[in-house]
Formats: sequence, C-alpha cells, structure tokens
Amino acid sequence: MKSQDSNACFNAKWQKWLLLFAFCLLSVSLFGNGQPVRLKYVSRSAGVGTVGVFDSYLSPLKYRGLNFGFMYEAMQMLKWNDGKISFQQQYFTDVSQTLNGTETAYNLTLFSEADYAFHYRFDLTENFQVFAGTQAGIFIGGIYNSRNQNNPISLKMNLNLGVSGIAAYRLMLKSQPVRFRYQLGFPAIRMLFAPQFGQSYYYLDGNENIFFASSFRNHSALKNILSVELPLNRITLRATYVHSFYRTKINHLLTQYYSNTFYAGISKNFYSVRAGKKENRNQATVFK
Amino acid sequence: MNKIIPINTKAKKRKNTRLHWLSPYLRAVAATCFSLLFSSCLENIEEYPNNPRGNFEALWKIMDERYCFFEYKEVDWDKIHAEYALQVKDTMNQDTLFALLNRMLQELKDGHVNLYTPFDVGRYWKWFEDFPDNFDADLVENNYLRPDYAIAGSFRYKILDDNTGYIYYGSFMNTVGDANLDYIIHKMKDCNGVIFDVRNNGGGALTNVDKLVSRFLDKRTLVGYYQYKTGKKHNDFSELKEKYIEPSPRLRYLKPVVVLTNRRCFSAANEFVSAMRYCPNVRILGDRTGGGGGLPLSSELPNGWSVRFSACPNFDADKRQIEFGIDPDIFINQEVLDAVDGKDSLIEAARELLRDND
Repeated sequence: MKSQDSNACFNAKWQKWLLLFAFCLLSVSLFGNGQPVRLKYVSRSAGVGTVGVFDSYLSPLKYRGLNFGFMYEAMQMLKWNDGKISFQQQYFTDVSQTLNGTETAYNLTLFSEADYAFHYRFDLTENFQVFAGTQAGIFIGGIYNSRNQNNPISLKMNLNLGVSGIAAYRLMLKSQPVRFRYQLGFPAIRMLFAPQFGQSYYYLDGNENIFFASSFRNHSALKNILSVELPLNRITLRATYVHSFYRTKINHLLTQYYSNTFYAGISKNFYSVRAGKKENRNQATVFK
Repeated sequence: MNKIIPINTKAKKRKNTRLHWLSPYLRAVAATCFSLLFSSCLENIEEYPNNPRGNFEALWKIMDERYCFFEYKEVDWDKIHAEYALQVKDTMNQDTLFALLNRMLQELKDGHVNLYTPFDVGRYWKWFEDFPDNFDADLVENNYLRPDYAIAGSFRYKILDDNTGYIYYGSFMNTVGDANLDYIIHKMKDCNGVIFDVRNNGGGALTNVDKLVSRFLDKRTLVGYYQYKTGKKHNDFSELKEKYIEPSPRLRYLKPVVVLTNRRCFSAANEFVSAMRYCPNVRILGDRTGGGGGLPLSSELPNGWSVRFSACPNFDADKRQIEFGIDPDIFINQEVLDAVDGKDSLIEAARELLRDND
C-alpha cells in the first residue's frame, strides 16, 4: 500500500510538470513569435448569367445561351515581407448550354479554371487597398456540339502565367462596413492545346504537334470580377459580377467565349488550425 | 459645436490620407479597368445573313476552306461559284434553295458530302446507283444462313456444309465486341477458311475497322496513310501520316480469308477492305468498293441546315487514294442464272477459292 501511495504521488508530481511543459510549448507556439494570427478569407458563390460561344472548329455560327457558374476563393496574408504578400486561390467552373441562331443545334460547354496568385498589398488609405501581383493557372474544358459527327468536341487545355490586380475599398454606411472589390486578371503567356485546322480528334496521337506556346498575338483572356460584400451577423454576404472573356486563334481556328455572370454567395475569415485561435491576439485579415 | 467636430475630424482624416493626390491616378486606373471591362476584345466574326444568298455563300465558303479533294478531283470550285451564284434569287423558297445547293454539292461526286435539312437530305449516290447490287440479303439469309445461323453481337455467322466459315457484318456503326469475335474465331478454327462478307456495309466507326483487322494480322502492319488540312487553301495539307495496326492480343484467325465486296461498301467498310489487303492469307472478291476515302467532318449554315464533307483524305499503304474505291483481287458479279437457282455467285466463288487453297 505504501509503495502504491508513493507511486501515485510521484505520478501526480510528473503530471504537473508535464502539464506545465505542454502549456509552455503551447504558449511559445501561440505567442512566442509575436506575430498576429493570419486569418484566411474564404468565399463560395454560385451564379447565373449569359454566355456567347464561337468555335470555328465546330461551327461558323455564334451560339448564345445561359451560363451557370460556381466560384471558390481563398486568400491569406503570408509571413513574408512583413505580412504584405498575399496568396490567393480561385476556382471557377462554368457550365453553359447555348443555341445557334435558328435553335437547330446546341452546344454544351464546360470550363474549369484554377488560378493561384501572389499579390503585394499596398495599404493606400485606411479604407483603400490595392494588390498587384502575378498569377498562374490551369484551364481545362471543352465545347460539345450536338450534331457534329467526327468533330463533336473542341477541347481546351491551357497553362497560364499572367498578372493580376485587386482594388478593395471599404465604405462605412451608418457604421456598417461595405466592401467593394474589383479584380482583373489576364494571362500573358500560355501553353495551350489545339488541333490542326482540319484534323479530327480521331487522328490525334502523341507524335502530333498539338501543344503551342502562345502570347497576346494569338490568344487573349480576361476576367473582371466586381463584388460587394456586406457583413450580416457572423457571415458576410457577397454579390459578384464576373465578366469572363477567352479567345484563341491558332492554326486558323478561332475560339471566342464570353460570359457575364452574376453570383451570390458568402464569405468569411477563418482561423487556420495551425495558427490557433486566441481572441485577444492581433488578427491579420486580407481585407480591411 | 457637436456638428462641427465630426466635420473637422473628417477633414483631418482626409488631409492625412493620400487620396487627394492619388485621385488622378485612381481615375486612370478606373478608366483602364472599365475600358477593359466593356471593350470589345472580340474579333469580328464574318457571319453570313440568313437568306438564300447568305446561305449559299456560307456553304460555298465552308467547302472552299475545309473540303479535301478539290485538287485530287480537279474541281474548279471558283468556277462552280460563278455558275451557281447566278442562280441564287432572294425570292427562293426552302425547296428551291435546297435543290440548288444540293446540285452544287453533287459536283464534288462525293458520297460523304451531305446537306441535312428538316425535310430532306442532299446526297450523292452515284457510286452505287449506277452499278449492279451484287448482293441479295434475302437470298443469303434464306439459302445460306437459315435455319440455324448464330448471331454474336453485330455478326451473323455459320459454318457452311463444306466446312467454310461464313460471317456477315452489315455496318461499321455496330460495335465490334471482343468476346463475340473470340467465340466466332474459336468456332471456326477448324474450317477450311472464312468468308467475311461486308457487302452493303455503308461504313461507321473507324475504331471498329482497327479492332476487326487486328484479328487477321500476324505482326504490326502499315495499312495506310492519312492527311489533314493545315490551312484554308485547297492544297494546305499535312505530310502523309502512317497508319499502323497492331495484331490483337486475343484470338486471331490466320487461315485463308475471302472478303466479299460490292459497290455499297463505303467509308469505313472501304477502309476495312483497304487494310485487309495487307493481312496475310486474305483475298478480296466481288466488285469494286464504293469508296469514301475522306474522313468527314460537319458544319452548318446560317439557316440551321447541317453539312457534312470529306476533310481528311486516306490512302492505302502504297500511298494511293481510296476515295473512288478499291478493286478486288478477283472480280465477280452476281449471275442471274445463279440467282434463279438460289445461289450467291460471290459466295460460291469464295467457297471454291477456299477449297482450292485447302
């Protein structure tokens, strides 16, 4: 019995030290570097709009119709450069059905795009921020024509490297902050897939020259994103207008795609698990 | 006082900010953004109006830029434009416009050129209409296949009483099943040989051609070449690309084979016959095939009509065009007297050939 009591006493003593050690580790991890908690801005939206599709590989006619879009965005300030560098991830998926002028054929279009951007943030005023940087991305999709036989699909695959800029302005409306944000992104150089002028996809193989480096001369793409965010309780409502434009002209094949889509969604600033949560600690948000 | 303080505070804040000197810069940024936002980066697309002349010009141009046999067939497409443009009237109704456009397309003498409308399909069928049929499906079914023939997927087959295997494949649109072929080949392994009948096979998927030919090959074989257009001019073509077929890893038939052909073997069936000539122990018997050596693509007119046209020319392994068909090794036509006796002259000739080989 005696030995059991002494063991219990010994264990309790060590438990105290272990708890103290764990608390110190936690404290160091949370407060040791003295840096603010970098909150992650996350936004999810769904939208509907109009779209125009022209692909001369499929048809010499313009197709118009409805576009349905999904958009995910995450953005966080990084440790580098006194926390002035941000990292942004954006994912867009657009699904559209379009008709030719006489409504005798339809196209189904699926475009999916992932963009990753690094921006340097300029805090110009208390309420106005400008971000400028570079973005890289991948664009995959295709246009399916309902009645073409050996050329029913025009595939799109691009690797992009370009520039991106954001202007964010916070407006106080009766002590309620409303954030306006505009982002412009376009690729400067691109590696893209394209068949030859009269080539059927049946005849594509690994030996064909089907990947091309392109510049402004034979491609252009642009994404204008204009959004308004309004805090409501613990979440923020976000309304977004996206004007998307995509054009390639390779091997005498012209593709033009433009959409005007209105999104509605929510956004929120999250604590990352690694950073830990501490109410009285400074918080570094991407936007003011 | 209470009203003045906030105004002063705002003024002070405004002074501390850099907005007052940035405003011209901001205006420039905003102007650039909005010009990009609303500017028309779209290239002007030449769309023809939806009227008789617009549709005529659109069709002529689609063919001018994308059709692949102008040079080979020595067709002067500009001359054809001049000739037919005079006949286009703004008052034409759909039927007369269709008739005119169809006549223009028939100048190309191409079975792969079709004009699809909701009320008719424009076509060129001279490649078989002016020639003997050389195939009577009822005669074959009643006198050779019935009563106990088998159906494996898209194939009808039977071992005839002289131990000759007979397989009929009517369309390359129908899927070629690997398991079906395994069963057929296994059942015919002890036959003298096989008659593979593709008469009246109007074509379909080229993937079925590769799958089928691979069952009769003993090694990787060059079976032909293809080209595609690289530009809008009539002779803008890629170099000739080789087309190889690998022998199937599944059951293969390497004993004597006779392929039966007639003028209605078209497109993928024409391609099949062309490739089978490079298989060992294969003879082609019957009539010249109908041709159709250009892989067709599709396009459309402003009025919604669809057009199909040859876009990628195919060649045999000796670099000869196969657009106008392939001659058999042995020319045989259906004899009237044979037909009266209930005999298919081509099948009988093939049986005799296989017996001789045996």
